Amino acid sequence: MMLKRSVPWLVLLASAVLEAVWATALGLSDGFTRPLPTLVFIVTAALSMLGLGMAIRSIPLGTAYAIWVGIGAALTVGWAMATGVEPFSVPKVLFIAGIVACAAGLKLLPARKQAPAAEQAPEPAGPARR
Amino acid sequence: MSWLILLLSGALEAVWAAALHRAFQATGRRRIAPSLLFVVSVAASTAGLAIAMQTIPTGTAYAVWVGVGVVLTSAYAIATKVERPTAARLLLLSGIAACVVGLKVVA
Repeated sequence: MMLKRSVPWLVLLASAVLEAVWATALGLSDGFTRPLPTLVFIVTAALSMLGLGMAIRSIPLGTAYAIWVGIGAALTVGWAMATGVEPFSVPKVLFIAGIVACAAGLKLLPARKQAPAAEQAPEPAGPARR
Repeated sequence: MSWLILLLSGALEAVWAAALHRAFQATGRRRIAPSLLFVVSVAASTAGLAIAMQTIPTGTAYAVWVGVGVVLTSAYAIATKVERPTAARLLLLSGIAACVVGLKVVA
């Protein structure tokens, strides 16, 4: 059960990683003039959005989109810092940690389907007392 | 003008996310319209961001674009009852939006 519920989240995380890949490839493609980064961009962008589409079948749309964008941006900047394209800075690391923490928090929130109709349950039917 | 294009591109982010959602929920022929809307809006949104980036600094442009996208996508999800607006969820969503904006502004 636990594993089954985690699959859409794994797909979402993989899509977010692919988002960072295509964002980096887009930067390397020099306006689509270099063939290899352009090809990588097209393939990973398509896969990334396909994965997002699959994830939002079971993860609420607003949450999935925010995590996809957030993890993607965090990895893009993290990768740029790790490879020395962008200088390392403490505020950046803090913001990245903030995104990851918020995404993890959203994962921990109870899913809508886990509380089925409990809140919309009709009032117990009974003979009217008034 | 660049700012207007940028805001519209951000709004298109929410449009494609909603269209993608519809496309994956529908079946058969009902998938065609949302799929087309998705392709058109995702292309227009990316192109608009690229145009806006020619005059607005990259980090600022990206931050505004993503911020508008996250807020409108969540608003759509809540308005259509796809997602329940609990206080914790709203707080975490705005936390992600704030961190992405902060990340791109300091970068």
